[in-house]
Amino acid sequence: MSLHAPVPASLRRTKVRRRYFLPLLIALLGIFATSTAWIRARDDRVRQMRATFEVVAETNRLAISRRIQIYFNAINNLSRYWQLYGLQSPEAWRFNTGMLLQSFAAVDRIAWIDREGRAPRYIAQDSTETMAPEFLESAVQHQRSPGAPSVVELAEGGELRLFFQVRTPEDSVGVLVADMNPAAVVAGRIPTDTPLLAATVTGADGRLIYQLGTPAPGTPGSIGMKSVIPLPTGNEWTIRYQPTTNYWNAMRSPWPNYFLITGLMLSLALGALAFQFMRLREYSAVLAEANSALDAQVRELQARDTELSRINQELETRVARRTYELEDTLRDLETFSHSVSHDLRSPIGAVLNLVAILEEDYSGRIDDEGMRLLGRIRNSAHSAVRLLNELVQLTWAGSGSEERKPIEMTAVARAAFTDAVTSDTDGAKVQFETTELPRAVGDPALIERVFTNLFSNALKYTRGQENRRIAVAGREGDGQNTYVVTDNGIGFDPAQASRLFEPFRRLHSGGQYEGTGLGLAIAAKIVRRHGGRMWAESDGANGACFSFTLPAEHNGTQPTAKTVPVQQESLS
Amino acid sequence: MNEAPRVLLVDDDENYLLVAQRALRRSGVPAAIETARDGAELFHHLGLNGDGEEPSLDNLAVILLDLNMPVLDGWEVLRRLRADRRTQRIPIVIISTSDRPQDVQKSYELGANSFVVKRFESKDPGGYLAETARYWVELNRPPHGGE
Repeated sequence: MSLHAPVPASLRRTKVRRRYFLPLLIALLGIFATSTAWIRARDDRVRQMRATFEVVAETNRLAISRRIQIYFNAINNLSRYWQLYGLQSPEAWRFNTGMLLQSFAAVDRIAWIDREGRAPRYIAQDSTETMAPEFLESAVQHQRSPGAPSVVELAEGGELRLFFQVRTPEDSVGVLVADMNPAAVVAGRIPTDTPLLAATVTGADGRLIYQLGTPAPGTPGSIGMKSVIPLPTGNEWTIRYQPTTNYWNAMRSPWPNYFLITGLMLSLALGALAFQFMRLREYSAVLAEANSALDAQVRELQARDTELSRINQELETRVARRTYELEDTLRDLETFSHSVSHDLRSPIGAVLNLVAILEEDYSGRIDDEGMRLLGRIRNSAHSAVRLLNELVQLTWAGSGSEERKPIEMTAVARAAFTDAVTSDTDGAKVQFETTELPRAVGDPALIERVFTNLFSNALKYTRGQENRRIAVAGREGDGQNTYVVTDNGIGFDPAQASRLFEPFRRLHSGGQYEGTGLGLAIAAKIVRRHGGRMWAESDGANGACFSFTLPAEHNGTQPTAKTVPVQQESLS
Repeated sequence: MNEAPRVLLVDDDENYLLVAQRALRRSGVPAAIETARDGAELFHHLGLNGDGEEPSLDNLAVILLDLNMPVLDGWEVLRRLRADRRTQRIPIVIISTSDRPQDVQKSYELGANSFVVKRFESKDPGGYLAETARYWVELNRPPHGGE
């Protein structure tokens, strides 16, 4: 019988699907979460950088605008002052403009020219006072075109040239001109502590005004921040920020990538773990299935076992009942046989007795023929009584109430012979031989009966022989001892050996040898009741040999102790 | 009193009683032979029926009692005789056709003094009964009694 529990195909399919599905889901979720986090982190950095850019750009733009405005205001104030206090002495001019130049390093030079282009005054940072002719020319041109802007951006050097008309309530009296270096204006305003960014300021026509740091090589023009600085001239400067190599280095920090790789690996590991877990679960499910199948089989086997033992029980009960019924029937039969033998014994015995009395008391009055007839009646009744006696013995032998104890077989055999030989008229001449017989176990009275019957039989069939001899021998056997009674009588036909022990079976004619034919049957029955057997041997001429077995004294209960000589080792 | 010892035969078999009486007479046992055919007759004969009659138990040497009898069988008779103080010590010998060990054992357990199996012999019929009776009569006779 196979104890393997098959796993249903449907269960297997489900398990396989789940086995791959869940781990894959876990791994993908992990990968997704890690990647998202990585991307978000990168975006955050970019956003942060961009915000920084914006703040820096706006700050710088405002600073630069304000600076320009301050310069503008300062020079404007000078022009007002100049107008209020009139065309002052050259000493006053030098003092005031010198103060301004000293305070505002980005102002390169200042000049005054009246409306006719006369009385020009001039001062520069290097304290020169000689105005260049082209400078004077531009001032004059500006003065003659009253609608012109008050601030001009010079093409050369990128300088800003400021024109301030000095006016009376009625009319203009002259113009104050100042040149301003834009790079100097910007330089102080853009902080140099932002090494991640490179700043470039360009004029309206694209001229480079100021540069701080260098963009990372290969940075495309599209990357960066642009912001506009409006000028009082109406023009605009452009300030542009681009990432430097430092920026990219900062951006290229390997840590997010490490995080990404670690996350991905963790996801895969988790997936693998989940896969193993699922497989384990699957195996345990299969195991549980197999287990329960096994349990079922065990239960089935147990049920069969129970059924078997129940049938067994039933059989035993049936056998016990049959045995009881048989025993009951046997008891009835024995009781019947017993009472028949006994109840018959009294009337037949009475006949025997009465005939004997008749013969004795009336012998003179009965003639010879009558006496002969009485003798026949007596003999017949005598046979009947003997038969009944034997029948009682046969019944008794099978009554089953015999005890079991060790028997001194030699003594029993001698007693039986003494008993048997008394009824033999010529018994004194019989030679009886016995060896020491091994002890047997049984009912001594019944075993004595066995010997008595065998001896009676032997005596009967040796009668008339010369040197009548009866011998008993015994030998121990394995559990059963064998006892042999031999005689030198007439023996019997070997072909009839097995029929000797049948009740009422007599191999010789009744007239020649008296007897009921029950003696050997009784003996055999007693032996059988003791668990032994009886058989007879003869060659038909030279006597007979009757053997029987009986349980030995140590039959099974006390095994014969065998003494094994043990050699003692000397300690020398 | 100096009456002869009594031997009481109890059996329902007339032939047996006949043979036994003849054997006892012929053997010259010095005893009066009385008979009863069943237990009831025995008790009546001994005056033990409780009807005011005086029990006649004197000189009763032995009761030879059969087992297989109608009405009251031998064992019942034995049990009653042994239960009665007046008959407790009277020798009782069971005479039966049975030689079954259990019958013998039961008889002795109930208080029989001996158990004799009935024999039917053509020589001296009933002789064994005479011998049995003689034994008990002799046993019960006072050593210096006699004529």
